[in-house]
Amino acid sequence: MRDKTDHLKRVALLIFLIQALFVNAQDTPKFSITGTAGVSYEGYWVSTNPSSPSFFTKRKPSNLLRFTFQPVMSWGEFKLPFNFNFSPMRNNFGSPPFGFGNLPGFPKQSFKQWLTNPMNNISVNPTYKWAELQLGTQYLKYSDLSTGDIGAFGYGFSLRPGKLRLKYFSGVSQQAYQSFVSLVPPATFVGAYKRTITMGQIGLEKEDRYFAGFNLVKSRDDAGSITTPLTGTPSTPKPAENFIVSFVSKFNTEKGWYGQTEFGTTISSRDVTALGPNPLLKDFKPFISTNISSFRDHAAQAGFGKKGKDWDIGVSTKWLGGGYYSMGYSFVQNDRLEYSLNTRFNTWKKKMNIIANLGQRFGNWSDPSNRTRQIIANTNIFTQFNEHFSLNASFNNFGFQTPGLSGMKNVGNDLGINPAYTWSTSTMSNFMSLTYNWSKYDETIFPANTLTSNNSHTAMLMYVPTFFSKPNLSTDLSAMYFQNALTPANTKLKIYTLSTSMGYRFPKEKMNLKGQLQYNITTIDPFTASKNLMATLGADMILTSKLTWNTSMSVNLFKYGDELTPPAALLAARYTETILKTALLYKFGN
Amino acid sequence: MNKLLFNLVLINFLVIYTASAQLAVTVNISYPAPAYLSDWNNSRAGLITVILNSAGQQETGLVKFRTELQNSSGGLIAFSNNSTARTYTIRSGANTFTLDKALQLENLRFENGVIAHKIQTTGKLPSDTYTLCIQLLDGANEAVLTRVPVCRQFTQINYQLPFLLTPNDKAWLDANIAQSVITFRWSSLVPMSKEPVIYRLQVFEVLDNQLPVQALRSNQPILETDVRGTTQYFWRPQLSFKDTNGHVFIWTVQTLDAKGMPVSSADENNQGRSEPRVFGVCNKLNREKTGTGEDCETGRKL
Repeated sequence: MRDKTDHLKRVALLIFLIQALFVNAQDTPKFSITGTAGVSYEGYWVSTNPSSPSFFTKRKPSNLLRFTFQPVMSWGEFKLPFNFNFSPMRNNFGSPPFGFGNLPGFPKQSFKQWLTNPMNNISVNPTYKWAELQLGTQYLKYSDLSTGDIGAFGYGFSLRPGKLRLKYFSGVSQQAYQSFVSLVPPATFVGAYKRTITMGQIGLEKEDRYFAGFNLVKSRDDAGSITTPLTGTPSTPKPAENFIVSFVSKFNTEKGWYGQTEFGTTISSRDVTALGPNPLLKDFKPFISTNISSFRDHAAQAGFGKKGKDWDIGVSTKWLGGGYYSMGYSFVQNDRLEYSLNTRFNTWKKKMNIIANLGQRFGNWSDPSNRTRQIIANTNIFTQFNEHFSLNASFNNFGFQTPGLSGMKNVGNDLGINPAYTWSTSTMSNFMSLTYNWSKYDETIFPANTLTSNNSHTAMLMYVPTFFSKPNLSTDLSAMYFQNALTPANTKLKIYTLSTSMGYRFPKEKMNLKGQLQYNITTIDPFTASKNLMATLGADMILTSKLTWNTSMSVNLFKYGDELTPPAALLAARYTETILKTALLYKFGN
Repeated sequence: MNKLLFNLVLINFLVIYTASAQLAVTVNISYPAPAYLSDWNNSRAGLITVILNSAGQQETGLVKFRTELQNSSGGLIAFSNNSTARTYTIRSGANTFTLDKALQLENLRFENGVIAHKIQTTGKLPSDTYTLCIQLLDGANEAVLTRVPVCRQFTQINYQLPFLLTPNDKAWLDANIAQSVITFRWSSLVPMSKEPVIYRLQVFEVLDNQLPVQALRSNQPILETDVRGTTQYFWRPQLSFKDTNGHVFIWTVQTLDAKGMPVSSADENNQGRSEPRVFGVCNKLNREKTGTGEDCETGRKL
């Protein structure tokens, strides 16, 4: 009851703010509209030969229809931006229902589930001067340690009067899905609880100079939102709760110094229904009550540097404690420490550009006996010797090692060289680019010291002619060779590719035609070669000054060698993929 | 009425006390034990079975668990408080309890500050071998019903999911090469599992007007393949990459144990998926900006 009253109060406050915005907006009569709206469709068809046994799985939905409506209406300083991107389909894989949406008998998604489906964005953010209302689906990044990559459907605001920064948002980041067990085909969907995320920020900011503020983020699963959670194998994840408080600061000086720091603490409960109290962890009321499934940990990150006109050098570090967890970055790996030195500068009369970074990452940081170490080193040097010739060289190294006698060591070294040369005659200009990459990747498994070594070579030559007499024609041709030798298995993967693309602009018809043809031969020892032909044809048309229509169709024919045998029926098995993409885009305004 | 209840309870105690030799306790703990102690309330973690043999008669009784948690060298980590332990009713025959009832985390007194701190900060025991010892007490007077504690050794392994190594996060790849092959590399599950694990590599295309994690949560993966015995995969995309806008992808590795179940992670909803990485495929690379996420001249951002 109290929750309901609080909810009503918040809604009343929002209505008041909206009214205030509109009343103020009446003073600004000039109206303009910009932005876009459109519809896109992607169709995907697959045929296989033989049709049975099955050897190829569809990798796109058969039909994907998406609508976009993103106009920005302005009346002077009042702006009304819409951001509607939605699809009537449900294809979820990385979030509930994990692809079960197409399972026979799986309940059709409700309107609430559709609204909060990450496939769909329905939002409108009316803004007047320093005040912004955030309504609908929002992907709000408060900071690196608090919340940032999870969208939520709800309401909130962002106020920026003077130097004060005040933000608040509350919404549903995941709608409830009931557990579902299917016998034919056999599949179990464990369900997901309804998850609400509430966040706030208060701080001080001077644009492009400094920011300092606190973030508070709380997420909670509604334990009553699944009627029959599964308890066997697999089982429904327990309803969880998570609270984060972080302090973040950033600065930039006129002399080029820059930096940022953030310190955060999280308290997480893996199961809000677990017993309490926790003998090791007190409540942190009014934000969160702990129980025996609760734990609390910290995280910190910092970066400092200085940049000039032609250079930039900085250091950064990040530590996430073993129990640091944010529902606003739910995939982030905790229990790690990393640091790096990053630099970029121009030299040799600004003809040479160098980018380099060197760092280390430690995993399982809180557990020294299982601590992993990863060395990361990347360098890229680009040199424009003259107007004809440029050279790019890159080197990447990483080493990953787990400790102990039963550990593993991965070492990767990649070297790339890419010279490019341009020359012209009286009738045409020519561009030639050669790319060579060498990559070595060794995996050593202890204690047997079993070494698996991958040695890869990639060579690609590309030629781009431009005919002065045919300025509307563009074309290129490339040939590529890739080889990976795996030892001690002594097997080789080889790929040969020939590719060409062509484009032609018809100025009168306001149309661009484009096409691509690609042919691959792949051999994997000891099998016979597989062959692949891919053709794409497309057209971009300007129908009116505000309406464009883009369409393309590609066909991919793939024929296996004998790697799928036995059974003998799959000798030279083939599949054909056809993809049709078409999109209409309308541009608002002039 | 109260007197009647008291007498009934007393009779029950007497039955159990006199028949203590007929109580048998077995403890089964899965290998490895669940990483988070709060997950011990799932029967997957293991079970405690208390058998009350009452010669065919329907008898019931009240019992408590006395718990000791020891480290690999037998040192005491924590023990339960008998007076505040929860009381359970057992009936003749086999009575099963989930492990959290015996562990009774809410009722433990810690002797080892280092381990208490680890549980406080992570909700997990440090990776090691431990021993859980259980004795049955009379639910009313805390008299010992099973004289010899039943001790079971268990192994705690805190796995860390693989880090994604190649392609680098927010790197643009050259479309002329990527259209033929893209190499994916990741680190192994740490510590390495004794049983073979399955690395399910998943690549999602980020569509126009989508954010990367939004694409990961909602799109069908353009590549989903199971990799065993190695931490590398060569993907032959068979996609047209040379159109004008460039293509953006987000990829992750889902780690499954030998039974095909996701390895435990901080958020169970993620089903054992590693922290994802983003990369793009571009047909007009700006070499001067390589590695910044802005080096594709065609407009898409990483």
